Amino acid sequence: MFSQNSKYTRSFLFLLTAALVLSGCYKEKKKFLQEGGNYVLALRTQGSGNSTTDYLLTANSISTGYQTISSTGNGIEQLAWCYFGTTGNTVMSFSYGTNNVGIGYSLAEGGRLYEKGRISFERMDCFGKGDDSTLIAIGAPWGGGSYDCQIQLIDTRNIRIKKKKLTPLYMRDPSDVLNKWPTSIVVNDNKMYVSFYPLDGVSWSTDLTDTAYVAIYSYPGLDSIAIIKDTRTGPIGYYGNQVNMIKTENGDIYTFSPSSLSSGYTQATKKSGILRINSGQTAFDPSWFFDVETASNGAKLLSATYAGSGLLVARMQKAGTDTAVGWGTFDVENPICQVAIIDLNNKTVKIVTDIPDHGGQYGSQGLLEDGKVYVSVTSTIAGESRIYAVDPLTATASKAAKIEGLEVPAIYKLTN
Amino acid sequence: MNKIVAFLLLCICMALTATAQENTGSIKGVVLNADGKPAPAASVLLAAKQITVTTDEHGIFRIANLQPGSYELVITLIGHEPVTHTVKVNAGKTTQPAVSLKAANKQLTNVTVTGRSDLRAVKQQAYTVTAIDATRLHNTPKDINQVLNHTTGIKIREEGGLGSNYSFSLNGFTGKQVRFFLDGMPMDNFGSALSLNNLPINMAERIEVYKGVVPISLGTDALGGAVNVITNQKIKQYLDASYSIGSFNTHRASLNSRYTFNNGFTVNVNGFYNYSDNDYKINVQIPDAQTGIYGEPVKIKRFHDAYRSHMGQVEAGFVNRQFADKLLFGLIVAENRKEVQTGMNMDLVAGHVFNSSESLIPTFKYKKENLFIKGLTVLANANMSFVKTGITDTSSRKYDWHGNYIVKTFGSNSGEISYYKTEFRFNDRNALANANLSYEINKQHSFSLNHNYSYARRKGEDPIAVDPIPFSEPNTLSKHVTGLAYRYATLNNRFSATVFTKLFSMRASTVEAEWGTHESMSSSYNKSGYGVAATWFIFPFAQVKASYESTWRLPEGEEMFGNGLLLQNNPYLKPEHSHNVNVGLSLAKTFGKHKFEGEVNYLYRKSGDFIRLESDGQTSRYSNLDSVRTSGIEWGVRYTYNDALTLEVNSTYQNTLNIKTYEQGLPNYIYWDRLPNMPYLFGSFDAAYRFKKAFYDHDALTIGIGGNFTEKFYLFWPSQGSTESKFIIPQQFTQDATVTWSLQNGRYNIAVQCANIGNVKVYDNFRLQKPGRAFNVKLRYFLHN
Repeated sequence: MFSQNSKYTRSFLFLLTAALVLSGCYKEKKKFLQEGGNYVLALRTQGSGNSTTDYLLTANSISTGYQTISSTGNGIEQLAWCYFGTTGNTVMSFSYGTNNVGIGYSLAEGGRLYEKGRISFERMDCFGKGDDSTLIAIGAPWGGGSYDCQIQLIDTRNIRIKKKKLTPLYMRDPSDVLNKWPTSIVVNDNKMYVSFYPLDGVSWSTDLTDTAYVAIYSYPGLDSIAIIKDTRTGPIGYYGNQVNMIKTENGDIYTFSPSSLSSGYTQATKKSGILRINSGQTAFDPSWFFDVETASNGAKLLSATYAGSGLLVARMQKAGTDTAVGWGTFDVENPICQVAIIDLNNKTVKIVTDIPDHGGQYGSQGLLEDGKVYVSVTSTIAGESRIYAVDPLTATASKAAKIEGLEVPAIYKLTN
Repeated sequence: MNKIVAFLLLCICMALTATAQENTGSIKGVVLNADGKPAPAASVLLAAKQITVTTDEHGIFRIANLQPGSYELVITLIGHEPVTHTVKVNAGKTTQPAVSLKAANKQLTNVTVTGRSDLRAVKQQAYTVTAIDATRLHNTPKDINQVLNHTTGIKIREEGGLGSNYSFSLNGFTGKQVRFFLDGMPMDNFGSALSLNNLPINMAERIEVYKGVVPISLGTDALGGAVNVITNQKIKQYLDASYSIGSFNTHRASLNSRYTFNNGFTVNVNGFYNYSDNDYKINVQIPDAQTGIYGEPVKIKRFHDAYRSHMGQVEAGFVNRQFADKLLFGLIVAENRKEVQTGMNMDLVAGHVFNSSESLIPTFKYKKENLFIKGLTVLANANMSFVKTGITDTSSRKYDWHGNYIVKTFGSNSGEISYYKTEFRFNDRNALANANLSYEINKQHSFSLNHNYSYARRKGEDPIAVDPIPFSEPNTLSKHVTGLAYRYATLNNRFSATVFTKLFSMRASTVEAEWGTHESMSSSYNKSGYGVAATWFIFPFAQVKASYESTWRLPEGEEMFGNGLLLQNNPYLKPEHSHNVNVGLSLAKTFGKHKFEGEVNYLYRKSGDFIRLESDGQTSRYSNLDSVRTSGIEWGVRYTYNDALTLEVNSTYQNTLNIKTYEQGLPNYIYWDRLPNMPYLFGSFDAAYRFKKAFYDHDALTIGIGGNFTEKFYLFWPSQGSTESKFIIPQQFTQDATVTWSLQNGRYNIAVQCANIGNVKVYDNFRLQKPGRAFNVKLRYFLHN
């Protein structure tokens, strides 16, 4: 009896030990703490099952290729897929979809982010800077039905919505059934310029692609001033909070029309190009137009960061790749994008050949610092995600910080 | 309406019971073990009729409807010598024999073949299987999910109260990777009106949980496990009616009954009804409508969360006749309706959305042992199911937690939760046929062959849709799964092993109706799996088990074809694959009045090409995405003293790691990280004391407490983000207590339960708060002979 018992105890213990040894292979991944700093980056990590997660983190430098931007043990976790916006010394994340929360952050001593406050919102799809303490967010009419957009002014000092206005961006006539999706917001001379593109609320099909539109409101009053149109190119911007309008040093606004089937347009009837609204004006400049598509032998202008002196660091869709209707420029695995320098004064396009062909992304906001523009590039051809420092004067680029993740949808520099 | 149906069913049963008292007699005997105590789970064979019954917890057995005369009973019980006993049956009378057993000298040799109860027989298979004796829980107001949640390896995560959405995971597998069966019939196509969260525990006699390897008799393409709910098979006549009422206006009624005539004609009538308002209190922060700033946390009652489900089943046919041991035709009608209170988390409040489902299921079951030749058993079952599943989200209102609403002027084509208002209906028609042929050459060698055919057709309709809707053209899927197994056992049954192979094949087709284009598509796959399971009794009280399987799960039609709208097709979708390994040891030993049972099981899974949803701009598609490795250990111990005190503890640790080195064409920085949003350490305990003859000769009072523990886990990848900012699903530890009083030897029962005694805030899913403290009273009437 007893000997049987000890035998059984032995085999039991043996089995238990074996099992524990086999299970013991898991060690928690090593975490390292990134040094804080004044650069604030939104990092979208890869997730298995396409479940990306967004982290907001800080770094004290991003300019060299030895550096790594990693959220392993770092960064403030965001609850859902986010849009990001900034003004003054505040960065905001807007969790999208399942959980509509906007959270404001600023930098504390030592280059760490702290939460200033949070708000609940109904819809926010397009963001722009109002002034140093105001972020503009426009909620678009998803799914059709009503055609109103909701313009919201967010007080970024106290993190609250201070003004809301429900208004259709544009109704051609009472029979107009197309929604107007806002794509970019620029404020200049007490006026708010909102670019948009018409689309069917349910099917997302774009039946009006031969006109560029901008709605103009007073700012901060938000009273409608005018709708301006131009038929030299198609609608301005596309889905996904891209930078599709920029303001130059003198207040001129340049607008980007992609005419790209890979960016959600179901047809393209005009060439991709750039229009200008002269500072303070409520009309497109009829004397200025740049047909980027022709100048680049067929490439499409998706979004751009203004580098000063009339130079744009632009993300272009390569010539010959715009073959299928869909969302190809949102797929990082689809390397159909290039970075180019567009000279607005001389109307030239130069491809930056130092940057590998790469996939498009949501809200690609670059950072201008010391004459260089830092952009996030995710290239399956290069087999990595990386920030590149682009020199707009020479149309060259050098490798900056490596991204351990999918992409960096926003790069900001804050002061505390 | 439901009450009337229930009442009618009750009347039928009463009427049937009344006609029984005629020219027959019955036997009600007691079996005593070597210690002179009543012996539960002894097997009593009525040799003349080849009927076997099992003694209940008081050692009592009953055989009714016997013609007057002399009968020979063969009584067997584990660890005891078999005894043959002759009884005389008189018309209209009940003979009450008492049979005493003697301890066996050669305890070793026949331990696994003689006199084991079904439960023990299931546990002693070479497969890693947990068999839960549901009869012990029939007096408690628990549903099957709550019982399963106290089982190693299983975690059921509920979004809220009664009838809410739940996800079932077994050793790291979730969703369609685990299959569910009711008496061996796959429940996949039964609709949500018949699922584990509404089946009352009283319907089940036992629940078998297969981990890793799934026997071929459950012919299906599971990736890593199966749950089989076995309804009462043994008792020839019974009526089990119960009703429970509880907090949040919860009412649950269940009726299970059977009547068997002398000529073997049997009628089963079963049904249940569940209702709850689910208006439990939760803690929320309500944002200011103007500024968006969140207010202080307030406690507020849920107001649109009611759930109702009901089911009726009639089954009739013959048992124990020459042409069939069992031949039953049946019909199941089930319906449910669930209001939806929130979206993915508690920030989005709805006041009109509901989901509904209606099922109509004709069934057929046939079983015959020793068909034509001795040792050949045929088992066949078939069913059809007509299921209508609906989502209704048509309101333009926007509610807040106080129940106030505004009518939306912005985005008014959207429903409360859905992007577009919907009255979407799936119309499913499914057919299933399963045949199992087994041939036992002798006690050592046996073969079995199983074939399973299933056909599913899905059609969608939405009367208010303005654009194409999913499955406006039918989508069909047919599957064949064939299994062949050979089992070897030594003569003394100390060692047994099964090798098996399975062939999976599927064919799916659909017409894609995308914005005016009609494109027909089809796809087919053939895969084969194989495995082996072996078990060895090192000692009579110690059993070692090991099993391995290489298996596949074939993609479903929807996964492959999308829905023609925002869910795109992926014709290149491959089947999911897994290698499953289990090694376990189980022990059972009795020292006088002390009985110890224990088991420990090591598991290993290496699985690839998990089918998961991937989003791409506005659209999404199913893709083969994850590859994971799970290893874990689970253990449980059970101690019983004198049939009065029971203590049970178990826990599970399972570590599921991401083993994908590349993700979206880039090096994967979360390689070897633990899969997030999945419990990895959990356990439960149960303790009960039973006072026999507490107040009367015929009563028993049981006091029980139980608890459930789940360690906190991360919502997102554990390695990413700073620790203080990470979202967690907090640690859970809840306790419940039950007092049960049984009168007239179990005929009348009353139970009072308190769930979540500590009234703690619990979450299974991120920020979806579950009910707090709740009380329940259950009344049960159980008549059997």
